[in-house]
Amino acid sequence: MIVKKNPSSFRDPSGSVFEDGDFIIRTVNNAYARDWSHIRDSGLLEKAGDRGMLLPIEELAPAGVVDDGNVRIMLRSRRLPFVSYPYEWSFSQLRDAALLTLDLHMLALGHGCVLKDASAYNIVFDGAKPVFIDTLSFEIRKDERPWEAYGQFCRHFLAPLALESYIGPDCGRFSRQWIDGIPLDLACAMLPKRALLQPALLTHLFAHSKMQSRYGDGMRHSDRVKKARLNARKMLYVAESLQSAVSGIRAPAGATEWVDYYSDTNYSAESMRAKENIVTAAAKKYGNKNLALDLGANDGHFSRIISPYFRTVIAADIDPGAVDAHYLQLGHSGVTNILPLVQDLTSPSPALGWNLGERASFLQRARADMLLALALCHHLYFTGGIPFAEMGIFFAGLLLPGGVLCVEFVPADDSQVQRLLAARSMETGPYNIENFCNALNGAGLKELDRRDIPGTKRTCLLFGKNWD
Amino acid sequence: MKFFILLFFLFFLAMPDIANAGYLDPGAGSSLMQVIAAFLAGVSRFFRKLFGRQ
Repeated sequence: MIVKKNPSSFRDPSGSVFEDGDFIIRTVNNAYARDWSHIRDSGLLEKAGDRGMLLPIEELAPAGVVDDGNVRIMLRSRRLPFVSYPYEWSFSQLRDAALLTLDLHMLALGHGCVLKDASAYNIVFDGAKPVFIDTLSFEIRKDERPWEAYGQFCRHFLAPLALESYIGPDCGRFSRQWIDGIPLDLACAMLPKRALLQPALLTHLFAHSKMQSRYGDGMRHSDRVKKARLNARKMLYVAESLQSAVSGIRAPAGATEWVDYYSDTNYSAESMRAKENIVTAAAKKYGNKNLALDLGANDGHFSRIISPYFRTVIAADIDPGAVDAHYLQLGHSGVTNILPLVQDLTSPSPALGWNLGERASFLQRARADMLLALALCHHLYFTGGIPFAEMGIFFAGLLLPGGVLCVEFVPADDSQVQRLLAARSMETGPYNIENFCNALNGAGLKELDRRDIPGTKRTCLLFGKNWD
Repeated sequence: MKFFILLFFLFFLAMPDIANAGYLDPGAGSSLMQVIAAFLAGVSRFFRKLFGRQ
């Protein structure tokens, strides 16, 4: 068995996480074995599994993973094709992840257990559906102590949701800076005073931050803190209060830059249909694979077109408003294998955390069988200042060997490019399809096909990686 | 209820900060905050029940 230890699992004394092909294996250490037996026998996992909150797990005898005598049990679950992080989620995705965490916490309380941490990284999206992956986060509830993860929940979920709601959806990316959540004093300093009028935020953010500062000195207040007790009923009150706080935060108001993109293009209905046919034919011919990546996906129109041909489609866009609209639409559509994500391609998510090993960069995670880059490159070139050669390296880096890039070239005399250049004095001479193709060839991508899109000046090109 | 929340707000605004940031344990304040939050949620629940809103 070839297994690789997940570099982010070193913090948990209860066990470790290993990657084994299509499976994830969690080891249960001796120290956690008693909790695990209780949790397994209590029916908690079964109920959570039946409600689709957890990925199904299978218990195995310990063998072959590690041999240090500390492992009691191994738990095996399906490995998801792509792991996303909270700073890549839109408002509604983060809100659904928060509500899932609270639902699980409340379910655990009903079984004599508790969630010992409330990290947003315990949630992963399986397509557009949030699921909880860290089975070892449950433990037996002892001594009626308050919920240890309360502060973490507020930092990981409540603070970024409030900031997105009151300041703007781009605040979701703040979580990238603080891997254990946004400090509450900072969140409170950034929030406008009118947020104080919302009782739930007043309690769980403003007063909470004040209490952290007031009673943070362990030497002076340890006795009082150690004596604090909450029975299960009161713990449920707090969880319900958090639930109402999360549900009561309104989605960020106002349209964002790209949220209305498809009603503002220069495509006629016929041209759009022709482009759809070209993309569908490419997905049919080169699809039936694991992962496709739609870069600049906007509301996911083309992600949905190619979704039948891939196990998972990642629909990445810079605009959190467009990503949120796409995510909400997927909830009603019945399409289950598309994951919308916020991603700025000119500065994709970097590696983060201890030794830069806890959270992998977007480029480390996204290795696709097909890339869609439709009506994207002119934005990268003129707005992002990215030369064609750099685009080629970037696309080639995201593709698996044998993978295919479907890219739309929008020429300089296209009305949308003219619109981009209206207030700039940029030399458009080098911006042409020959230079574009040469640069992609130079990055190891071989041109496979080229189709003009009828009724437009645009061209769809297919390139393959390692097709020589 | 609004009066109660306002009083709560004034109480916290009036609290002095302590600033030994390097040795602060935010978990201590979070534990105590939960006791207050549970109390507030209990009161709110009581009034909701009393006025038949739940």
